[in-house]
Amino acid sequence: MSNENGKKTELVWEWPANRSPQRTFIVKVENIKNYKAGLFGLKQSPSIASSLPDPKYLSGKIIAETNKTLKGREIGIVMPALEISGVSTGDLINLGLLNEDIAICASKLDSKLTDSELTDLVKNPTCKKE
Amino acid sequence: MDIISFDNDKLALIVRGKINDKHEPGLMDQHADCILGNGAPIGFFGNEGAASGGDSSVSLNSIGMDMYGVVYEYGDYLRKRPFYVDVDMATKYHVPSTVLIFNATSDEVTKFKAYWSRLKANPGSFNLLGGNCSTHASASFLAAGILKEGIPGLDTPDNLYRQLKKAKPSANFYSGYIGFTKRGTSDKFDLVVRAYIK
Repeated sequence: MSNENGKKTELVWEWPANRSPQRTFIVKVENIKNYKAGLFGLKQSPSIASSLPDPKYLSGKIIAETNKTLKGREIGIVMPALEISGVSTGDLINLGLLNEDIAICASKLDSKLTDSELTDLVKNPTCKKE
Repeated sequence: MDIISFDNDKLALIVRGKINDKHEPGLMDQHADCILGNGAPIGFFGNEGAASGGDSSVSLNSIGMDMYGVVYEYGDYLRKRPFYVDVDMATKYHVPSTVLIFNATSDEVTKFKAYWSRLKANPGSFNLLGGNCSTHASASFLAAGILKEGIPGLDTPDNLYRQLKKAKPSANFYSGYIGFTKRGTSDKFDLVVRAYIK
């Protein structure tokens, strides 16, 4: 799913549930902010399917990815804060993807990883914490 | 840790966000799920989209109205609400629940399951007021003949809990972090309850 000018891909968060990612996005985090949950916060009701605990909106740019087709693309995703604890602007994260737009895991990467190490990461999608 | 086995002899209501029997969670802090006779969790949620197909549905969604309804089963919870079905995730995410469990006849268990199967096939719309998780949980207890009338007052999980508790005075309640474990290769689940830590 992309925004109106086609340059930002909005991802959807789910948990792994015994599934393995098919694709890896290495994302440089540009912003993390509280997610606005509609009028009076009604969309944060636990009975709304898309509601997440303590949701944050993370945006960033893909600097490497398994299929190479989306390198440079801006992404955005609403995620539970617990899944990105310790992550801040400028950090690199590894997002494990299913299908086109479902992210099932995230982990912070060492900012000193070399290009070759990043290439290895995207070749072998995994939810394992680095 | 309490473990409660279901052998098509019990049914239950779960109120998410209710930390004990006396607790009255805020309107935006509670959600109702049910437990089928085999111990499997099931519940009704609202999904974004224009359930009526009308032009105003997108804006109505922002106030929790005219959304698509969707029924979650165990696999859906694992992917989208693991802290509702996995006791470790419930603890990690600090999501307590209170479960009201009561004995049920084979006929009640069958009718209860049939209601949820029909709803799964045709979930209709979700409305935070009057067409929500507790509305359908209530309807499933009505369909099974366990309750005789709808929820007194607002359709909220906690109001349903109190109504059901009056209707089933011998029911047991358990509070804490809960999860479900599959029993061997059968289709049955055990309910696991871990003590709540404030």
